[in-house]
Amino acid sequence: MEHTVVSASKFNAWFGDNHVVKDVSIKIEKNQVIAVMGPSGCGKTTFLRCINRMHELIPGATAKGSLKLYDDDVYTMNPIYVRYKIGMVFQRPNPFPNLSIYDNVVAGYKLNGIKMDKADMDNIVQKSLTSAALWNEVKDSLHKKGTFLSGGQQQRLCIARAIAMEPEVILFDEPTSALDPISTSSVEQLFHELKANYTLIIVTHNMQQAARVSDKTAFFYVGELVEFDETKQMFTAPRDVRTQNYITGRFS
Amino acid sequence: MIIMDLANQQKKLSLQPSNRQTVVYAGKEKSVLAAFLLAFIFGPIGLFYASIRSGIIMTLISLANVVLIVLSGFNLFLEILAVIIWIICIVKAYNAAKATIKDMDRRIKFRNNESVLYKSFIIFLAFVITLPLIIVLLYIIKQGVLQVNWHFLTHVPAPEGETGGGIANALVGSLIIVAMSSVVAIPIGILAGIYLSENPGTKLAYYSGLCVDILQGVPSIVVGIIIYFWIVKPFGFSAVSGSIALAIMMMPIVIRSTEQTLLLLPPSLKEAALSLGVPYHRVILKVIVPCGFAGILSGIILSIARIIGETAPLLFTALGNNYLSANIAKPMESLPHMIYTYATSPYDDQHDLAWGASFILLMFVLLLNIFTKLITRKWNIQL
Repeated sequence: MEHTVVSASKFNAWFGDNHVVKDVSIKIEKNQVIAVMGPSGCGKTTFLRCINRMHELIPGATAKGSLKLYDDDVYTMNPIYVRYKIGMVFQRPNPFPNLSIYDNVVAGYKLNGIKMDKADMDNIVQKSLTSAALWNEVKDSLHKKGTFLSGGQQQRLCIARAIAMEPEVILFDEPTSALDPISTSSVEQLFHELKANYTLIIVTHNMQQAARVSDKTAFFYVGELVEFDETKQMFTAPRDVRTQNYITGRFS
Repeated sequence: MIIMDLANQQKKLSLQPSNRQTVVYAGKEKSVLAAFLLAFIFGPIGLFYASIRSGIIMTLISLANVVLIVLSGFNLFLEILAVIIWIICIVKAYNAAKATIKDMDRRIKFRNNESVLYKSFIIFLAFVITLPLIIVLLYIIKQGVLQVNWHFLTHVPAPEGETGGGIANALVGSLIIVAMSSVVAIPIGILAGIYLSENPGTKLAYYSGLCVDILQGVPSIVVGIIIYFWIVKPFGFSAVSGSIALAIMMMPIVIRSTEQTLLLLPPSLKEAALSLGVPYHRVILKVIVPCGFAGILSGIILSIARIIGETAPLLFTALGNNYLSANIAKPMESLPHMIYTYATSPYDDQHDLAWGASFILLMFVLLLNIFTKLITRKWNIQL
């Protein structure tokens, strides 16, 4: 299957003794938007953070099982290389407060000490900000601090920062839960455009959002992957009773 | 429908006249004259007549006043006045409240009065607390400012019995000694601070943090005696030994301020950098330290302000020197040491020199503190 970008089989993750991700097997295809949903504490964010090995940074956190990016096992690769290839956008916008908007976009290169021509760098900045639908708003203030932007703009700046590294996959950890409805809709709009070049995995609490933006939806419950299917199928005729209960709001 | 019903019910309730009535407090009024006499005779104890709270506060203040008198001979004569004014205010307010609590308005007025009273009392206390500081400052400025001129800053002290002379040797010495201790203490302090903030909860961090706290509490004279036996005894008196003693005093301050600053940075910042594939050491160097730069720098400056006036460890390490010297292997004069020697000498001229040196030292510390405030305002990063 050359279209499979990320695949997990029998993947487990722990916080100390707390088994948070249980035997998850999933195949994620290229250029799709995958929504991951489920009640709080069901391990969806942990699973997401395992994909680019951010999980292991928390003391006491461990993971076991196979998780592959194309044909390479993520857990035998150098974590730094993994994070080049799998970008991440967090729940709260977190631009670097000490850097300008421009430097924030190329932070991945600058902080890694990668030398580049000014022209190339300008090019990357413009391209990434354009893809993140932010270029028109900030092109005159590229050298202002990133923290002067509004929350929604900051989140798009973080998306631009992830795009600038040209990753294969971008992970979104509840990317709109700290944003107002207008910013949310602009970020959601963005998902549709980013799909052409990247594979997006989005953790969300918002079922409407999952229905709106995703091609496929994964439903997690108490650490297990209950159901993974086409979003339409999932929201119209879920196969599992737990999914049905969650979607109809019997439990949250 | 249920909500509507509830709202209606509440409306009805609030319209009932019985609900508007408030409890009428019974009890005797307090006498203003008695209050005045009690305050006049018993001072703060008398305030208990008006209210227990004010009695406790004023008694504590009086105790603080006694301590102040013992320590500095400075007496807050205004205190008894404050007691009298306060007690009368409280009793009047109490009586007013007692006599006329019939409806809401009065009670609110009473509360307003009470808060105005408390507010003015707090302002008064703030003034009282800053007063000794201002008096000390003014006195040093008055004694010292006339001594300071170009000659004073560029000449070494005159031999005993002669007039004139300056503090050039102490000025240069202090700067050299403080610079040397900074070179030792700042890198170690920052690195240790980073370690402590990055590894909270580990055993090593816990015990080193404990050591830092203990080191911070070690009296400076004890630091001096350690350096005396370790370095001065084998190698002789030198500026270097003084610098090492001061570096030991300086380190815990730099460590703690660095640690506290970095702990305040949100973890999301580190995650952002790590998720871009930045290696850990570069995350620390390029993200964490620059973001906490203002805090770290102000910690450093405050630690310099703290050690520049330190005398005890210099007494038996850098020793002192009547001549201008930049040889760090030989004894060297410093501002606090000069103040100590000349203030205890019998000559008036040398007293003047000591006052001048105190003034310069004070200005140093003041400027460093103002500088810190400016730095934190200017470079503080908005998260």
